[in-house]
Amino acid sequence: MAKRTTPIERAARMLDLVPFISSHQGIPIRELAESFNISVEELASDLNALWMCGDSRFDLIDLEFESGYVSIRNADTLNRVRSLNQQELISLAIGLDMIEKQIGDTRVDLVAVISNLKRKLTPHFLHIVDASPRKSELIFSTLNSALASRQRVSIEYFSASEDRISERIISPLNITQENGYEFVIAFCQLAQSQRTFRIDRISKAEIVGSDTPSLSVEQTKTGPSMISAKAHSNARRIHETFGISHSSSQAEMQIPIYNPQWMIRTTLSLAGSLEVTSPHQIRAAVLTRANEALALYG
Amino acid sequence: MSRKSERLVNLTIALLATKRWLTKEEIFASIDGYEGEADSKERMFERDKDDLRKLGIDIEVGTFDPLFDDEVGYRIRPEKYSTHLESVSEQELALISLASQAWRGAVLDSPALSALNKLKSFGVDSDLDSVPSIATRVTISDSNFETIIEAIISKRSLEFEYISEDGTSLSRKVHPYGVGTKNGFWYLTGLDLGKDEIRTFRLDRIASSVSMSGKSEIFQIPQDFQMRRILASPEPQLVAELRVRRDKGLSLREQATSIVDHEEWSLLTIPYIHEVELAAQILWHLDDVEVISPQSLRNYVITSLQEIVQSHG
Repeated sequence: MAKRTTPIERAARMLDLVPFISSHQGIPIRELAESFNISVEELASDLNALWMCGDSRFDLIDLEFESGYVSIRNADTLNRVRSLNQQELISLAIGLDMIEKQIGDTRVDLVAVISNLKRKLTPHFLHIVDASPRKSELIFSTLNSALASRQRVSIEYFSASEDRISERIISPLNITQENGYEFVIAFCQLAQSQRTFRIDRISKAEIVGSDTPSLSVEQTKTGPSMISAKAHSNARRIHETFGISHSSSQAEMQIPIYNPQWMIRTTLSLAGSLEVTSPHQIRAAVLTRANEALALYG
Repeated sequence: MSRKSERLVNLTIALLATKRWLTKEEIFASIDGYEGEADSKERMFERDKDDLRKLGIDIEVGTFDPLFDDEVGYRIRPEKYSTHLESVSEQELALISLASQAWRGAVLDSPALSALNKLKSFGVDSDLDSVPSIATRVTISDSNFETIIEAIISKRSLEFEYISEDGTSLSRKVHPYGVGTKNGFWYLTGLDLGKDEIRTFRLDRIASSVSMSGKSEIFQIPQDFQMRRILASPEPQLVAELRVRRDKGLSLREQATSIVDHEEWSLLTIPYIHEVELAAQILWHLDDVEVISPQSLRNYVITSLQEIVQSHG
């Protein structure tokens, strides 16, 4: 609702209110407002305006909503379900495609219903959209409902920088998004402090019950340390790895990091395209690790 | 209160209700809000027609006498105004609700909601019990998305700056064919006019705002185009053999088609698509992983390590 409604959007809504009310005669005004995602005041102003519409030579639209329940009469001309416009159709095409893929093999019957529905509703978009949910979608919804109901979750978490899977009980505090990845910030019982987990690295999540200690999201106590580095090639990949904006492509980059092990492994995996210039300890560690790996090859 | 909205609604009612063509004079006389000089009424009417067209309401123009086109009239055909759908089933409506809710907070949330409300107006109750209670999300807040959709629908060219591998951005001009999402990233596929090839672009790598240029209906989407095929992961054609320390390399073990354990090491067989991608994963594991074959992958890893040693020495 943050966006301001334009007069054109409002006109569209007024037109769509007519068949909606006709098929839901006596709907509570609050419910109607919720269906259109507007406030009761906005709705009342739409209804008042609609009341004055119609062919003044004959009859105006007859609306009744003083009692808190809305009904409509004498609106035959507008009492038609308007054709869906292209944007509406494409939004449904994408949404349905995503649901179809998420349901997948679990409900073959529903997948068939969705395919039929897509053919019936959005035949022109079948070939030009393709939407699949993130692999971590189910984990996300578990975490999200745990967050909403303040419950604890048991997770299996893969830490890439330690190359280890651990089982933890966490109390989710917030879900954030950065760099195309989603994270859950949570109080971790194992670490007895606040930790950030990448959601796509959680392989299992199960709600284990309430009794969440009352916690608030605090700022991470230790700030990041800064690394200086140079990109020799593959600048796009490096920028995306560190979440640095592409425009800041100077010779020397400043990279905020929290975990030196992660930085060392990342530098190696960038296959020679990144050079850490400072601090010295990290630069030296990169050299040592690279030499150790090279020793495997004799 | 906006009188504009009321005028548009009244214009729609008048043009829908009429059985014959209405002249401009009749429209101006019967609908409130057309005021001022003849010129300004005319301009208001032209704008209103355009605005209704944007809403998908087509105003037809015709003449009273096919032999003399002296006076034109206007009308909206009810059969074009209304959807051709007869109705939807209770289960279908429940699925449409899920599809619409998936957009909550993302760029197309208002069209998704108005689509749902239109379909609810058939008066069918949605049977939510017949569908699983899943909460799928369409996560896209990219402000370019709406322009891209509009360009695909109206078949217009798109222009934007795109970040290439070396981090510099280049201007691209594209005939957009399709959009899609996979694993949280969004993609646009179309004919890159500079390269005369079909290319796929990741939306978060577009460095500028996207703009439409030129006329609409300027191209046709090839008959055999399928966004699904573009985004499908190719079958791995290559196979690598890796030596991995016991209890290490968990993410590599997950991809392995066979694991043979020895005392200190395991031998993993991993199918892969891109050498560079697999090499990055191998290098991540420091001295816990050694490439046995193929030779080109082994060489790539060795060369990379030598470069790292050289630049950090």
